Amino acid sequence: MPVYERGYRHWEPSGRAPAAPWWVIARRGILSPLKRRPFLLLLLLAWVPAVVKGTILYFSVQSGDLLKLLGGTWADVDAAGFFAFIERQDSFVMILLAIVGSPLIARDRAENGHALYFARPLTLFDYVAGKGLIALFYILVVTLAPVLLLAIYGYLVTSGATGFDMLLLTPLRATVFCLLTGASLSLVLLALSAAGRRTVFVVLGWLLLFSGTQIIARILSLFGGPWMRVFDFRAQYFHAGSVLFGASPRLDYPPLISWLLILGWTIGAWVFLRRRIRPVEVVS
Amino acid sequence: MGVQPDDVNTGCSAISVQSLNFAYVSAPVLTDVTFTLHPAAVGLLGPNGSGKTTLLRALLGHLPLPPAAVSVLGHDMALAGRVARSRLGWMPERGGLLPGMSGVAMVSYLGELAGMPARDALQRAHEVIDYVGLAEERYRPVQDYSQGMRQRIKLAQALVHDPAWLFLDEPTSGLDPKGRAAMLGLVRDLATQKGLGVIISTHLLADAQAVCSEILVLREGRLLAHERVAPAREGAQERFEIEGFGDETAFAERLRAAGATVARDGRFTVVSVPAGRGAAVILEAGAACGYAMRRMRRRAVTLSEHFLELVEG
Amino acid sequence: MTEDARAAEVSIGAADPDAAPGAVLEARRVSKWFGEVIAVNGSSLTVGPGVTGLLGLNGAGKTTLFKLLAGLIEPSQGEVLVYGRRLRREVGLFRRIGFCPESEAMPDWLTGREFIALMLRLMGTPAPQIGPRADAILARLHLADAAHRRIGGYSKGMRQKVKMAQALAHDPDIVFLDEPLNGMDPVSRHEIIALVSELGRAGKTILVSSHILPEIETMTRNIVLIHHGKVLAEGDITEIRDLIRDRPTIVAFTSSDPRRLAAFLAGQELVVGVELDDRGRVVARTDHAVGFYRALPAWLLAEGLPVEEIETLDDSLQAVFDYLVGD
Repeated sequence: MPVYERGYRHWEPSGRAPAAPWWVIARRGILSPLKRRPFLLLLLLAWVPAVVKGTILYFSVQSGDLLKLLGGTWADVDAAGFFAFIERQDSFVMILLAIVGSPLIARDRAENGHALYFARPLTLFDYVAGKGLIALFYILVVTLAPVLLLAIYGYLVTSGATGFDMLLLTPLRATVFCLLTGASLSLVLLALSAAGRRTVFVVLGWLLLFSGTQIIARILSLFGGPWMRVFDFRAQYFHAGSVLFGASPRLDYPPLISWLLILGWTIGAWVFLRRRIRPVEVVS
Repeated sequence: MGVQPDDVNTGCSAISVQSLNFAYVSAPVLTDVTFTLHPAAVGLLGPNGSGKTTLLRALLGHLPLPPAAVSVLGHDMALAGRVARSRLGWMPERGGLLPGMSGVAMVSYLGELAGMPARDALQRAHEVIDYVGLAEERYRPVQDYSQGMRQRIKLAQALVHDPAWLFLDEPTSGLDPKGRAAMLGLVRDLATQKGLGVIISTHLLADAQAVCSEILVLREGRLLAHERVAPAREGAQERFEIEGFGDETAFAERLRAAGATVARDGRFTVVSVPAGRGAAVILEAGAACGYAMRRMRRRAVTLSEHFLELVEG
Repeated sequence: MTEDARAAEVSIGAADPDAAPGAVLEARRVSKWFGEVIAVNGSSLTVGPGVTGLLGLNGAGKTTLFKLLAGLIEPSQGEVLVYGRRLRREVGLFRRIGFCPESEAMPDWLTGREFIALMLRLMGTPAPQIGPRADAILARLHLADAAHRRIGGYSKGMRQKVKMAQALAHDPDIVFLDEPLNGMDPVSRHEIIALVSELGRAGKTILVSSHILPEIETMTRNIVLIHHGKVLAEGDITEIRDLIRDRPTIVAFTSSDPRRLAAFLAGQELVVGVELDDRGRVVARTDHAVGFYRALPAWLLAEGLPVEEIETLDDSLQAVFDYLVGD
């Protein structure tokens, strides 16, 4: 009858395969907000427009052009219609990311948590990729996911009337657009989160970036002409995306300018993150 | 009593530093530091700005290092820092928490990041949290912890992946006497009973004296000493320190009459007796004049005396 | 400044006729509560000249007791006497008190010297003396080089030293030091411990708190232990240890003939238990430590028992602290 060690015991590995560090970070970050009931309700709310669009689609097939007239872009089943849908989901993206994304790095910085992360076999890429995936996941859950489902659903209810376009081309366009802009948006948000220690300030910064720049750019464009809209952070993404979806341009200058702007601040965000995230804080 | 660096036998449990130089933009922080450590409790001592933290960062592979200067567990930290870090535990002095998580969530998460499968990490997290002595508090968010609980959870996260070496930066910082004794007890147990190597960077010489069997002393980026902590015995004379009560003067006179020299140092009477005659002389003197002794021991050079000699001398 | 000059400076009120003789500070059944939280609970103590260590766990009420004794806050109940007088009635007494708080808050925008000069001015030091005194105390604490730099740029150890300098600058008779060694490196610790011991020998009354019990032991044998807002013990560590009757004192012997020594000790009435420990030492327990120590040398000589070292294992400040505070 042995007496076992009651104090510290060495670890005997079970032999299961460990997960990659970026996946550990992403999984924890994705799952933990789901434990909060208000957050789940918000997610459900973000799917209401998709249900509405689905219902309109169904009835417009049943009752013809009348509803199509009333529904406007809600009833559109072409690529531009889905693009408009993604654009309308924007306020959900803003709110969800303010909740999930703002604390991602700021919270770790608040109590010198990077010292713990980087004492592990972990690279900066693992850390940023893991944290970025969390933000990206919630962007996709309210944009790409409903679009893909609606595309399949639309193909079924219209008995394939929209054909190849709705079954393959629109989902492909939406995937490319959501992944590219989502990745850029996630990086910008992470950079913002790495700038502060207090989540509140990050949230404020994020809201300013999303809505504030839009208001400012609109006011400026009254005096300085359409070029002033370059200061509208969020509009660049949809102006750039209009090319992908063959939709009407959102702004009055070539979409290439928007692509370059997005590329510029995405790279800027990555450079900032590299400088900002260190294993040891430099104390004066 | 220096500890010789042995280049030949740097087994894969050892830490070996070979003429390490490191400088921030202009100012040198570490200059020609060389030592080899085998698993033991090692005290890292030095005044502020002596390069202690920089040395620990080098051992963790967090600095741009020249090749072959720092080897930890057989890995060159300039190249394979990541691999080595899966066997290293680090407890920073400042902060070191992930707010928003419960104690057990934080420890298991960091265990997974160290390369443990998720289930192993959760099981180990509970085990090390038991070991550091946290009970139901483990389910509370870490940002609400008291200082004592913070230090414990920080030790737990450093232990969860069963590291070969632990690096502790001021582990008793902010602890009251009870918490401090508990923390030192854990560290001593890990180093002496469980075979872990522990490096403790501390300003408290009493802590180093209590748990360390070796010390590294840094000053202005140079390694002043690497020594074993052990009582120093003198050749021709035996020196005792005595603490007791009774007629102090008569006792001292008796001792002098027997050929001993007697001095006072704080609460102790320090008696040097010719070697070989040992304690008998002192006991005789005590019996003769009714002086009662609580303590009569060979005087070791205390770490604090020795440290100050090194740093100031 | 001579004692006479000081007495003239301080308005003389009638000393409390019941004040404890020789006591510099005296607290009588002092309680302090904040709302419903009680920080100090019916504590009495007297403190004489020399260094006294104040010990307790976090949240035991040390800082509140310090502030009560220094007259920074009023007790909710009970009274505090300084030199037998009530501080609040004789504001002049404040000039004889120096206080080094635990809190980190400092005027970061001032230089060290400006800060000390400001504190001296607040203490009513005559203008011509302010400069020389500030320089003297800064030099004493090895801060002369940093005197003209802003406190905001100081290291933690230097901030602690400046806090101490402002407590000592006006040459007070009573000094309160709340965790003065916090954050200092070993060299500074050594300097401050030496300074505190020296001030104690010079007849100042110094009350110092620290969590590092071995450091308290090198400064003084005289302690006050506070737990859950109550004073549990005050006085000399060794005497306090002897008063803890329910824990037998443990004494270890290094001997070349441990078995014979153990057998002999086991036969003595004063000894309640003997065992050999894993380092080959004979460990004896006794309920009457004082009598045991007295008898010991004669026993050993009479029986011809070889003993190399005698070590009492549980009379350190840490052991006394653990016994009194409980687990």
